[in-house]
Amino acid sequence: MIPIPPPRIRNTGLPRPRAALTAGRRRHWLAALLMVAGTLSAALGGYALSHAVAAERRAVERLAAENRALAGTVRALDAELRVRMRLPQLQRWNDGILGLKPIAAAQQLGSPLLVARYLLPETEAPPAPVPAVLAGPAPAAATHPLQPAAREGGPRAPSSGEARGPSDPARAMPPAPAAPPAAPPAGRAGGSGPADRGPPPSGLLRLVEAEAVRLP
Amino acid sequence: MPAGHFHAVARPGLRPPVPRVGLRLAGAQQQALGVARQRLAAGILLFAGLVTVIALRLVDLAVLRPEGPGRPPPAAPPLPRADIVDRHGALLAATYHAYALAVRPRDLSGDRAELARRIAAILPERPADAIAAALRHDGPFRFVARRITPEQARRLRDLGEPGLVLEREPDRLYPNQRLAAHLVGHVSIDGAGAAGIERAFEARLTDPARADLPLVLALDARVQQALESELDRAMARHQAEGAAGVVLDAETGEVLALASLPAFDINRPGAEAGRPEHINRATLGVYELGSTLKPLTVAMAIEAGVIASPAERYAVAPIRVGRHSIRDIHRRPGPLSVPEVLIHSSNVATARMAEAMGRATQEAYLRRLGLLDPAPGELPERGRPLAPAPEAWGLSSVMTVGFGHGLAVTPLHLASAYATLVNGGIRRPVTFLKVPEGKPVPGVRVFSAETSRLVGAMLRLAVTEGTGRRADAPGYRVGGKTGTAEKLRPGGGYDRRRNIASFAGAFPMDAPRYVLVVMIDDPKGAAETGFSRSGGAVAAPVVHDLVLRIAPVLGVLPDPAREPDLSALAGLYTPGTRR
Repeated sequence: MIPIPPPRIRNTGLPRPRAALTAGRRRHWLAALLMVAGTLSAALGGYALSHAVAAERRAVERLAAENRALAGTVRALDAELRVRMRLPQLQRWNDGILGLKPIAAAQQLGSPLLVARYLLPETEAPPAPVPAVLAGPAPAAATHPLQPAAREGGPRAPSSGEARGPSDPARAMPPAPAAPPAAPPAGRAGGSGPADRGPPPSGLLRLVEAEAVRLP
Repeated sequence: MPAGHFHAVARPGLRPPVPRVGLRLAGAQQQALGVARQRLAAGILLFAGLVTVIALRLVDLAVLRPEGPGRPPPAAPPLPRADIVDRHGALLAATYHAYALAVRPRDLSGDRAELARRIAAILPERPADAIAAALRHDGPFRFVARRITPEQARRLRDLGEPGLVLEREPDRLYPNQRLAAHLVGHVSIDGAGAAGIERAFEARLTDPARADLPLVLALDARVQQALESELDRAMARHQAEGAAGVVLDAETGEVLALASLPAFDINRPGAEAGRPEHINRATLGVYELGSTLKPLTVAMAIEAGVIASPAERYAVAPIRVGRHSIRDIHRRPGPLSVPEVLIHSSNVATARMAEAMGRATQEAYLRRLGLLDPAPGELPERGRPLAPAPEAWGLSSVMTVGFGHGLAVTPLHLASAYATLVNGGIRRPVTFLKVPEGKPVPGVRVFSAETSRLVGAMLRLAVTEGTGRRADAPGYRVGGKTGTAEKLRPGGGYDRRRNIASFAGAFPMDAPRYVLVVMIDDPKGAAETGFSRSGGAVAAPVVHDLVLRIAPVLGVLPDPAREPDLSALAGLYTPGTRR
């Protein structure tokens, strides 16, 4: 136990100077104030920091929860979409409305380069007035588009003046070397050489229209 | 006790004067006392500050932000069952959290009949009587309806009835409904796998560690849809009782499609439980598939040395074994070469080959092909073949099994055997799971590569020249064999008026990759085929249409100019004899 010394007897006749007393108290109060302010600042700072971290954590958790909820919503929507686009339903639409059929072997091209055949200049395979060819008796040599003779007998390139306004009426409806009314799919399916090149798409359209007219 | 200086100041009032005690010490003690007072003041201030901070925070929460920081949306519980997808990721089965309506009858308030009417208006698919009965239930809890939509759940919640309970429960959804119903299977009301893949892979699907990883099947949903569509069309055209089909990858053993018709909606399996639709005809039902077994007999005979050369000729005159008479349906004059045996589907010639082979060889090869074991694959629904009993497997059985009678197997059995036949002679395990790209699949050699190539060429001839010509999809080099077998009567014997029409084959035969088996159960025939009920008239056209649809999907390019190497069979058949 620490012994406490006895109190000293003050000299009661001489009060302490007031200025010294005030300065001491000020120092003490100032130190106390600084200590309190520091403590408060540290506490508030710690609390604010902790609060900020907690807020960030809550925000992250909230975002994660929202993500989970949205993932669930996306999953539900995806399921609904897949139900609506289910294969049996697509099949029913095709059977009942669209009527699409699988492509035949002759409709498939072995290489993308073969698509270029349809983009050849018209000098290679000039379109002919197909309706006239289909309506009349075509020469035997012109029934197959692969026959070189038929190609030679065809009109010249449409860049010439004759192509725009032929003077010979007989040449106005020449036999179409590229018109394949006999067997166009077979011709394309069976051949692969340059003579197998068909007419441009516009010619094909006219051919289809003519075929539709010709059929009963 | 230390001495001190006390002085008290009396205050006027009713209360007794409280002595104001002051302590004045000398020297260092007085300073210590001052410091203690300062510290006490600091503690009080600190405490007051903390109280102030808490009060400010409360004001912040209660006044400035009365809505609070907001509660995150309730996290859905983890899904208890993994998804099932096809080989390209198309969803076949998924789990979602559905709503279920339950009732605590003792907590209900108000008129129960009126409440039942209001619930029935919200749930029109649920019988009103069942709803009313649930509300009158004499128990603490009862389900009223399950699998209700969120909109219906909201309207039910708006009723405000405290006795109604809306629960979230995991439920299984099959977006494609009837597609691959028997293969995918379904779950019970408790969420456990009850059939098909759902049952076969129960442990994998419910493994929490892999709940986020879907189970990837070998199935291709597009091929499956094409198969089911064509089978369904054939069933309607021929008024058939049922149909089954398999598309198998001969190189890997993967089942790309497996169909059994009629099918059922696996989202509601309970309503149709126990009906014939639930029978998986492709893996569980066993059928005598007739002449589709003949190419296997030919391969066995070649492999066993019974057939030394495809130029060997076999007489086709009817033969009698015991009380059975074996004769050809498509009778041709003269002895037939080996390819002609398959072209004309000669029962007599294949019976003679089997006879020359003997029971031991035949049984050994059937076993190596898996035709005497339960159906291959992981499905729990696996049929056991019906083979002659060991004591009854005599000469007659050997000969009838040789041309496809007396042995009943599943279509999956036959597909696996044909895969072995055309892929070079190696039997690989059949699997419903996707095999990683490039991963070699080990197998067991059953036939030599030369035998496989030779019989493959004959299969191509059986299509171009034989009974299977209606299966010849132009450009895709289909090879295969038709089969027609009479159905067994329940009491024994065969029913001549009811057939099993089948086709087993592969394409493209120059490099066989995909095996097809189509089986139509009890077709009645159609006008366009002269009401024929044979495999060539009923099953072969299905293969034709099916190949045209699935070959582009599977990446098989058509090439009308390409054919398998038929040079070994040149001169052994007369082209165009059946046209």
